[in-house]
Amino acid sequence: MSKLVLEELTKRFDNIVAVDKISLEVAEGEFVTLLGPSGCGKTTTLRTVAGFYKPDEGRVKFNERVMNDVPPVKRNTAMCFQSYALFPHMNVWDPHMNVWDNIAFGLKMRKLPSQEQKKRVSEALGILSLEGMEKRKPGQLSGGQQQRVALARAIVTQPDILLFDEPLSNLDAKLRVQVRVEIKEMQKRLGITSIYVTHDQDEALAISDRIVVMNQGRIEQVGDPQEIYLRPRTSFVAGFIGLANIFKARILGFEGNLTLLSAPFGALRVDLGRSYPIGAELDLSFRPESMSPWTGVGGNKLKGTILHAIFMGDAMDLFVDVAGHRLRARAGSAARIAAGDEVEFSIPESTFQVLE
Amino acid sequence: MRRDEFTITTLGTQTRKNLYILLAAFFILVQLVWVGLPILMTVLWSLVHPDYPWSYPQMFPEKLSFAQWRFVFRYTNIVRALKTSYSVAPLSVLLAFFLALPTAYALGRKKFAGKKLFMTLVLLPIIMPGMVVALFLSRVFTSFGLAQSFFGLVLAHTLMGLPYMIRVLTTSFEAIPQDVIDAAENLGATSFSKIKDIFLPMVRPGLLAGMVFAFTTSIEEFNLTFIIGTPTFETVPTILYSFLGYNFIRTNASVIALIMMVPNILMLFAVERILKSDYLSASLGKL
Repeated sequence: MSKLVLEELTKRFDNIVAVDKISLEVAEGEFVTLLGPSGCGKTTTLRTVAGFYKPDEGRVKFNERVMNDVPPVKRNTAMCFQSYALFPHMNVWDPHMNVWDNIAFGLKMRKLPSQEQKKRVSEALGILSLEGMEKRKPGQLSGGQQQRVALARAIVTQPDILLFDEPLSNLDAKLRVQVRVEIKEMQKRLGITSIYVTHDQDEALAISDRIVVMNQGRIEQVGDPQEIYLRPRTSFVAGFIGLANIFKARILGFEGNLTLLSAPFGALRVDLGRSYPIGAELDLSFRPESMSPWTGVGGNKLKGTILHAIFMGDAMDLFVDVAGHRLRARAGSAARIAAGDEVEFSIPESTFQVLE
Repeated sequence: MRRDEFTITTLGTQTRKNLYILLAAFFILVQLVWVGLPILMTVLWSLVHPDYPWSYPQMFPEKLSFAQWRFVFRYTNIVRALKTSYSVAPLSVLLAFFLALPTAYALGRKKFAGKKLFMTLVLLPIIMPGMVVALFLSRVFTSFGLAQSFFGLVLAHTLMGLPYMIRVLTTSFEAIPQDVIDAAENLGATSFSKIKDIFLPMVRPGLLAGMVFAFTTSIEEFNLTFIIGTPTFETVPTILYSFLGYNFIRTNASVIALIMMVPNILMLFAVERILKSDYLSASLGKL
């Protein structure tokens, strides 16, 4: 097990800066997710940690050891690929590598005694409930099983750091949820430091100890899932993770702990947790689920016209016109709301978030 | 009204389907006649009885015999030529394999300047007319003392097989997913085990295909052998050519053509089977 430290890591491809001076520390046994849209540098960062890319500037350290010049073969990381990357072949004459051979590959490369190999492969098969499939060929397995074989192959070598490159993107939605629970459980049980790359925000929120939101090669925000969701610091984070109503407002004054604001859709009383000079302009956001039909107590009261009401099963997704400004809101699934209705909403004072 | 439109469209697709089947049947028939008829004729010509010549308007020879076969084996150097052919071919394939493997690896997996140009250069020996290559190569071979030598013959045949080998292997190398190589490296595979466990098995279909091409090319090679090898070395094609042209004897030529052709066809079927099992295994899983 290792601590992972990235110091001012920079990676360029033909003058395009893929990763731009990233610094990050991952504690031993921690599960950290790199989250961002495609091209944000998350995969490049991961592959630099694995050693497939050499950093142009900065350093990659496992514990205190600088790994910049250590080839991937000697890093003792284990990676799970989006394509699973299982080995289909054994050798030229017997061209089929089965599940057992695949899992044992890393142990064979480390020249472990065959007794030890057997023990560890059986263990890994057990952990990922693949017993009885040892003799199957990769082509005979479903996508979920293939990814489990890839996971088994990774953990069996007892790596210092586990690396995941969008391992669930090729699975269907239901299986994705199931396998991500399995990954999380396995990681906690084995306590291996893990870096997980995904563009799926739900996956990131569900699986991580901490999330690193990346955009254009830089880190936008680092925090635990709740922090990232409830306290987004930039408009990119607010917009990328979940849905957000983002707007500009001017500070009018104060009322006790509350700040009075003028927003495009009306006056607001909000709790910002700190004070700003009067007249200052702020970028603010709040989540659609904070804006729900008025129940008679508290919060900011706004009146709006429903543009679209979409029944989602567990909730009603509402597009609301408030004083010419479009907002997203939520109502319970039992609510009887239709397009064209005039509805009063409330937004609690403490749900607003100031963006940088 | 609607109903009418519906029937018209279904009728349309139905006739189109029939048309496709008809077309397919037609082309299969053409292929059968095209390829099968000459082979059938060759077999018949090789069995013509010397005392009963086969001539128009007879549909079939009046009497069949193995006299032509006996003649060829008794009065020509066919046995020695077969030995030469079948020792030159495997050796040239082996040589081509060792030369093509690193070249194809570099072409398929590395980036370098002038790659496109190099790919075209590799094909030159099979694009240029064989006699032209032979004429100029013989000059080079003579000055290196390789003409009329067995090793020279192997080298010449290697030259003709190499382009196929390199092209097919390059494509195979290109097709290997980078992820699989990365995964092997990530799990601690050394360069040797990467070659043994990943590269060689994954280019196996290309390797087999390239070897078959190189082998059959060598077996059927005439131009280079004629200019560089004869009269010291005779191969099956040079004997075949001796029955063509001025000394045209169709019956004997047919016998030699069959001797040359049949092993090649059998090998092609064998390799096809091996390749098919490779593809059918869906070895890469669901990608």
